[in-house]
Amino acid sequence: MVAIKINTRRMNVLLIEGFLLGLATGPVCIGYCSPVLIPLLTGRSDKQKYFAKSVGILLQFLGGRLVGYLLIGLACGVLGEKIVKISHSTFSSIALLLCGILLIFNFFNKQLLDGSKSGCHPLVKHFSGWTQIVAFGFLTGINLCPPFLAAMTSAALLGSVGKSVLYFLAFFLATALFFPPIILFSKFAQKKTFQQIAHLSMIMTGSWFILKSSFQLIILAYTK
Amino acid sequence: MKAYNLRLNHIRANLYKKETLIAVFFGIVFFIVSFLPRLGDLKDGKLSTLLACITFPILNSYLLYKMMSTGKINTYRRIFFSIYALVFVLSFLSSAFIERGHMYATDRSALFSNIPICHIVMPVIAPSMFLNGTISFPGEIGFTLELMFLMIVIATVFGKSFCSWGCFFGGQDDFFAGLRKKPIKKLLNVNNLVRIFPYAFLFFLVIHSFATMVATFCFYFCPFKATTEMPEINSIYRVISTLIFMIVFVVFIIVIPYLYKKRSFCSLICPLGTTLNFFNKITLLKIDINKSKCINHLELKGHCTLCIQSCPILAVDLDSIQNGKMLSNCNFCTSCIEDCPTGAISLGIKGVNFNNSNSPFYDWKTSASKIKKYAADLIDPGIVFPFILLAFSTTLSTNNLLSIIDAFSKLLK
Repeated sequence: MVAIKINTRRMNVLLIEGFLLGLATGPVCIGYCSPVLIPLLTGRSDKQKYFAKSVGILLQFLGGRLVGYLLIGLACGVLGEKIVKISHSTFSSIALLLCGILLIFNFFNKQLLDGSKSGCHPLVKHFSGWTQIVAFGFLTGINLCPPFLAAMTSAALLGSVGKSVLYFLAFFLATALFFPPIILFSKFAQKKTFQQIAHLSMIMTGSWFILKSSFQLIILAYTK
Repeated sequence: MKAYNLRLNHIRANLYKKETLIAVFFGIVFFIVSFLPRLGDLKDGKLSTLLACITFPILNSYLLYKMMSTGKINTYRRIFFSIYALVFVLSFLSSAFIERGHMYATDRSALFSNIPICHIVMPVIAPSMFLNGTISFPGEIGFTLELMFLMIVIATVFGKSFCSWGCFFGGQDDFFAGLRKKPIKKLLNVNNLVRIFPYAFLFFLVIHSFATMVATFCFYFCPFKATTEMPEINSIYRVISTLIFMIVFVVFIIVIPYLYKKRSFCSLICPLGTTLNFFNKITLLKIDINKSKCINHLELKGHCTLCIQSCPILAVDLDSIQNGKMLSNCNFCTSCIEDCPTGAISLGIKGVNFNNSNSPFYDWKTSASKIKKYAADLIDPGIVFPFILLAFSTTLSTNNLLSIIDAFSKLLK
């Protein structure tokens, strides 16, 4: 009976519900993304147009997140209630591991955001700039934090691919509202000390993600 | 040796003539701050309270007397600080054993918020507390707020001096840093990476704690779990975190401080210590380097550097000597003042020049009137500063000692 009611829910109600969930849980989303996004904004050595560039980085990051959200929305719509049976811990751990590797990768490619690629490994040349930031957004987007799991549960019960994707779109729009204040951190990008601090914290975060996710995956494999 | 005697003479001649009388006066104040909160128990005739209340006032006034009479403020501060840390550890462990029968912080105690809030972790949990209204520490939110407010007040007035005079954890690595006479290697030029490491680590801890709603420092990095309360080992995660605690404790509290005579935990890892660096910008306290007295400025550059070697937290380097002031991470331990052979380094208050002949303070010091001389001594930062911080620590130490005595008396019963 409940499932039928959810399935026949009107579109605007659905959008409002997704949006409200995003508004309610936005600070937590910020928390999950900030360890990656803040070092990206502050750890730059470019001196000019830092504010405009920060907006660009944020948009690229949010673009990556949007792709991640829509894909999960699509998966929820296609798989329905079956998605609940997929091991969230394994999925999150893999996303965290990839994000950690990417952070370390970014650390060793300090010229990434300057546009200068001289002296880099060929792999870095092909995978740098906006593609890497979008990848960061995507990986943090599909990292299943508690609000995201709440949205997944609601979307999985909708029973429609379109509705599920729309639900996630509304959820994304609301959570994205919390991100612009983070641009204030780009102010610090002008100071060399802050760039160094951001770079160092980036490698700490990356190492931590890799260690944590590796342990999680080992424990998950061991307990199965 | 000659320079050392010169320094002692300088101190004795200028500052500490009436040290005994001043120490007695401050000792009385120590007694008052120690006795007053426990008057009720004393009226009931509790011998343990009386014993606890007289121990630290006597010890601290004696140490204050020695600080004044010898000028070795840091040496006696270190003795006090190590005892202070030891008493804290003993009181914590004895209380834990009496209450629970073991030193583990159980999941049950975490669930019911029975774990006392730790000041070290406050900067890490503050962002989520103020932005999300939640506390990522199994402690009481009201008490956390009170402690935070108290810490802000102390840091505003005394800067980072809490780390060398008031923190009952700091005494642990300070003790090991003071054991050797000479370090295995003199650290004169420290890599910039070491300078920015504490800020990067704090940044990492704050955003992670905010993100995961877990006090990341407490759960994975705190070395003092080894001497206070270990988490209950009931999962593979706890095994890993316990291993990390032990490694951080051995490396940063024992090995590096002992070998290099540097307080590596306090200067590199402690989140509170790094946060208090910012308060050094607003506090009125300062440590001055008088360039006209400094050997490095007497065209003998590189021949002295005793202040750089003696500083346990890397707060002075050749550039800071050139600028005539300490770096922002100075915690006013006064080791540089004690080791400077020419008395070029002194504790002062921003905007006040105590040695300027135009200042009223200088008039008092050189006055023929004994009362004015005493008054000048009583407001001298070199005396008032240790006194206030010792008074603060006396009350805490008395509490700790009381809990040790209570625990032992319970055990004996």
